[in-house]
Amino acid sequence: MAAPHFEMGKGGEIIDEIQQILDRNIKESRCLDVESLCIMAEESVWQFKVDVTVLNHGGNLGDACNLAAVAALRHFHRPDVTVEEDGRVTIHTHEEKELIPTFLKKIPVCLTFALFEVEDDCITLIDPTETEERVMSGKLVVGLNPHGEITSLLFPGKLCLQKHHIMSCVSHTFLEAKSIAETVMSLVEDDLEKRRSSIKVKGFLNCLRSDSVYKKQLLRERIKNVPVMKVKSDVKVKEESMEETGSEETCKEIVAESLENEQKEAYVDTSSDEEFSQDLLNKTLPEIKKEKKKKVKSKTKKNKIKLETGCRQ
Amino acid sequence: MAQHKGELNFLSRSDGSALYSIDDTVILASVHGPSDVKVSNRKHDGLHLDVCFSPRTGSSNIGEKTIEAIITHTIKQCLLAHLHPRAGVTLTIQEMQSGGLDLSVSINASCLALLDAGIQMSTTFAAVTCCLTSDDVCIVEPSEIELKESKAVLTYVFDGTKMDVITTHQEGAFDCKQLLKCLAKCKTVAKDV
Repeated sequence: MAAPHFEMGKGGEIIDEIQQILDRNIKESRCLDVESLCIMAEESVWQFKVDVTVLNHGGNLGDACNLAAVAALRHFHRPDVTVEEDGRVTIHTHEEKELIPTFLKKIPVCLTFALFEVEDDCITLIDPTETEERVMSGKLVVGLNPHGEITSLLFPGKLCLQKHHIMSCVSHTFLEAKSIAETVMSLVEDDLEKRRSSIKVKGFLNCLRSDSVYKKQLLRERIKNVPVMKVKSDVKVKEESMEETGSEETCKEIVAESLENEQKEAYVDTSSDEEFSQDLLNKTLPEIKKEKKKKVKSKTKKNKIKLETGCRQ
Repeated sequence: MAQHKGELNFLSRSDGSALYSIDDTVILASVHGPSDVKVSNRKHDGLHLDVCFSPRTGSSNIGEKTIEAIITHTIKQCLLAHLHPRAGVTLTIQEMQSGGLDLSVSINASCLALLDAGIQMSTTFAAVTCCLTSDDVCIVEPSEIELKESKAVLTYVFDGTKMDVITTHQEGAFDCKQLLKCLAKCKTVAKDV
């Protein structure tokens, strides 16, 4: 599914590479406290199986898979068990006893550098997109945790690098790693909070956005920053479900419209989805108004956001 | 009726993709094609269709293969295969969230994904699931709890132009009268879908 050249079931070298990254970063780094998974010594133990499915190959699969696996492990809660004296093991359901979260000692983070050899110089890019990956000369994958320990180092390809170059790359990742780890953990905590207070979690319905939609959103934000419209009151952004016969309006049109009228409610088209591979880092989950009617989203129609704007005279 | 939601052109790398959801069941369908296909699969007079259903966790089993077969059967009737000889279309369906209505959501998602990819079809199609409870009440688009307590689950696929039945899939025990009653109910619902 991820890209046209991938076939279902068949591996290829990219699977081996991702498998290697995940193995080294998660299994061999011992970020998970495996001793706590033991139920009875030499008898029974909990086994964790992580299935990573790539939906869209937008570049930098290793980082994304690593993030996804770590977030999933942190999010997972296992049932509680009691071991009787005669050796019987009882597994409690979540109604009986609270589920135990997975304890991650250190959060492994992975960062990929794309290296381009231009004459004598070597240009380094972090987090390459798919097009950049296709033309790069070499790749450096650094896995580490926020404590400063390097869990893995992968340097495939034919490119040669100077030692100081590698060291500068690695030191750069230390700064990034902390922020990434914190973002992931806070997002997982948010979701867990919501579940605890029994707000029904929408799951995938709102989390995911597509590439093109994300780029349009970036464009829109740039247009918004142009000081055409003065917003007096606080901008309340509420997400409304779309109407089937709604028309597509560009931001500029709306801005022009709102300048003519005072206190007009302007409808701005934006989307609320993000590309899966970049998603978890920058997303803010807007509140969704639940509607009973059926709404169908199509390519040309996006979510409409109600903006209450005060226009200057 | 339950809440339906759909989104097209979801994935950037696919030729066509759709994310469809009914209540809690969310399914992503992705289409690649018409494109090259292996020599063994090549058909001289038409398109070769490859459907793959991947469940949320674990590997593909017999249950998934049944769904694939039903979807292949449905699409073959609607697709204008003779327009693309010696080519192949791959349809991958990924289950994101399961609320029990996997089959009908997958079929609706595949229809939207094929539309998004621009592959010529003679008609669109829509799937509706209903269940029969023990007191012979027919509930259209049941929730997971209702599905578990029902004695039979029926899925119908209707085509978009004449509202004829293309595919049916039933599980459970029921008689002829109940079948016809459910069919009539689903037909009215399918018009909305």
